[in-house]
Amino acid sequence: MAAQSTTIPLPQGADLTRRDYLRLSLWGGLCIVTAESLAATVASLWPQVKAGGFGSVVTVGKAEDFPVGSVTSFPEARLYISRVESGFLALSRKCTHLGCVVPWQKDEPSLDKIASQGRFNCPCHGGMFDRYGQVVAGPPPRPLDIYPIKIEGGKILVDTGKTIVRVAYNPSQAVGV
Amino acid sequence: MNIDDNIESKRSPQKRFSLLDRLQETVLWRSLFRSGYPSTDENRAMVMFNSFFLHIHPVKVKKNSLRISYTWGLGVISAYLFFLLTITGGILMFLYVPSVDQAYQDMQALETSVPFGMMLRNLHRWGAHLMVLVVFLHMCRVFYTGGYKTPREANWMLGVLLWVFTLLLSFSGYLLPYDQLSYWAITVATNIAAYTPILGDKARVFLLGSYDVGQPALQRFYALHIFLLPLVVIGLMGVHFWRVRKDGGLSAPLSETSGGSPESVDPRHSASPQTDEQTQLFPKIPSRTYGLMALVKRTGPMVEKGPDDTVFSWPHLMVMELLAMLSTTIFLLFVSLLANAPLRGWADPDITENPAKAPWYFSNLQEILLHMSPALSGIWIPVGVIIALMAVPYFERRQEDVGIWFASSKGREICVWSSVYTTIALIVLVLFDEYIGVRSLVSSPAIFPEWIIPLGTMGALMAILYAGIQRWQPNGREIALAFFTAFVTTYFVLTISGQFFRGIGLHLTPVWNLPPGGLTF
Ligand code: HEM
Ligand code: FES
Repeated sequence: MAAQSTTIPLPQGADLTRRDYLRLSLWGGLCIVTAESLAATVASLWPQVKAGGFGSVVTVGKAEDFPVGSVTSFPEARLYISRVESGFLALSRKCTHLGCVVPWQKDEPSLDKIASQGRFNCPCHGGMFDRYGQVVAGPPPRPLDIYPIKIEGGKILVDTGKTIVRVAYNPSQAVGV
Repeated sequence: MNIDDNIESKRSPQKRFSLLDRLQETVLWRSLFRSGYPSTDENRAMVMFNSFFLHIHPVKVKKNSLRISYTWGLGVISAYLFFLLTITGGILMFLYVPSVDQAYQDMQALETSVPFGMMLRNLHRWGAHLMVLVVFLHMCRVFYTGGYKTPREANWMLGVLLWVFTLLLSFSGYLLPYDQLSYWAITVATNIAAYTPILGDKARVFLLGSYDVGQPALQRFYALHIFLLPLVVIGLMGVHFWRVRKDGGLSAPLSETSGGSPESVDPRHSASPQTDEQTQLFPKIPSRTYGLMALVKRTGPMVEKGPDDTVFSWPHLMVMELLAMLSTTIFLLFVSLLANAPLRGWADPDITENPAKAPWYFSNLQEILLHMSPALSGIWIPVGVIIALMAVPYFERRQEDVGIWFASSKGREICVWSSVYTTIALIVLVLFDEYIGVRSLVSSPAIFPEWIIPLGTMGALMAILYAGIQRWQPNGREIALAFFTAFVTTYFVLTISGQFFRGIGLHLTPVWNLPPGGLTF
């Protein structure tokens, strides 16, 4: 920062005595040192990590292996591939409420029209999601997050480094073949 | 007094001096203890002055302070439990490594191969739970006896902080076994922290030291649990005890502290302003016969009452405190012999257990999480409750009913009414949200089910409570009693429903149908 000579203007008629000046610098100095120490402590404890540490582009398989209505778990990539009518969705398995892992329940009654069975049930506070990741019941505030998908040479590539937060499902989110 | 007389007679010249008597004459004894065994009034006073460990006690205490039904010994028991937890925790530190690879195995080793390891774990775990409970009960006793009133407002605020820190201490320890229970409880709790205003997800990441629960989180919680939080609690406890003394010892009914006029309790709050210089230096205290420093509030005999209303702390207070500690120890040992601290499977970031429940003392918070926005239930309501509790003594300042449980028979009726009303209202609400569901009636805009409806309901319930007690024509103290009782009842009922009536997917399930692991301690 460029050094700048500043004069602190005193209000009209204010006279700062030597005693006031010393008292002010004492308390001011104390406050500054305390603030600095606090800031330094927080800074030293600030985590030195980047979001999505596991985030890289993952190939999850051939597009033709996922029939419509199928939901497949990829634990190492921490996501589900959900094949809906218009294409593929890479759903984050983290509940948008408070972060529990939502398991796919293939035998529970479905909450969408694609198939008659299968839904996501969050074990933590009873949140329920359908194949599109939409909230059907419970406290989660928004649909499951998704990751960008690219299909190259019939293979599905998911970029797990970029989480897409969505407010609602719309068909353009599903990537077609 | 009979016991003391016996000790006295030992010293009479007819009897031979015992070994103990001789010991007390030695230079070594004198240098360590200065005074002889506290068998004379002088020595009873001296022992309190001279012993580092006893000097936090006054020489004499009001008889009222010793009544079990006044304090139930809850403050002393809280302090004693903290002491026990420090000792057992210190031993556990020799046997535990805070690493995601090692922690869980260390827990298993404690249970299987370390001699008395299971006992040690049980004592520390059940002791922590007991402390959470006892501190809360202590807060209730102080409230219901009006112990927070002038001049004890600041100590009440300190107390509220102690309660919060006790919960934090217990919760920070919850991660350390690094089992499934730990992992998901901390995941959920730190996700609530992500709703902190301004900071948002940064708060969560800072707590965890990363984006998920893992080694950095375990290390952070360990440092908090074994060092930082206990340090804070020790500091707060020190000031808390000091204030109990400086605020004039324990609160007691006015009839026992003075001739009955509120002014004599605390000269600084005297109605008549002091004018001349002399009374400012040495305020008049009409009710005190003696007392070296009139400036210091202390337990002194009263004019009308005479010295009979106070007794020597040695042995009377000492015996009571020892009894409290002894019964706590026996109780805790019993519990630790009968029930083992839980240890679930090793923390697995891929699988959330179903049900994933909070420890019981947070199951009330988990219960409200089900019904509204996490920011409201996880942050604003707790913060609101803490502020409201701290504010009580600044709004409810009547002196007449200090030291009287529930203030009056009217107060008692109001408390009963308030708790019955709150219980019914809560049961109806919980059932309603489970079987009909606010979200299925009004789902959008989300602000309705998340904020407006819950806040509106709470506001309406409080308004009805206020209207409901009007037929008693309550004074400020009685209104405070009604609302505090509503708070305690809510705390209790939601803990019960969250802990005993929530099963798979946290749906309502009777306690006898809970899945294995359905209770979380
Ligand atoms: C770690 C937790 C705590 C410890 C170790 C502790 C300890 C004590 C002890 C030993 C006393 C003496 C009287 C008695 O046994 O009842 C006391 C009194 C008191 N405590 Fe606590 N306490 C704790 C938490 C709290 C809490 C949560 C509150 C309230 C929010 C509170 C408010 C008070 C007040 C106002 C008094 C004076 C009461 C009177 O004079 O009647 N304390 N505490
Ligand atoms: S974390 Fe899934 S519903 Fe709360």
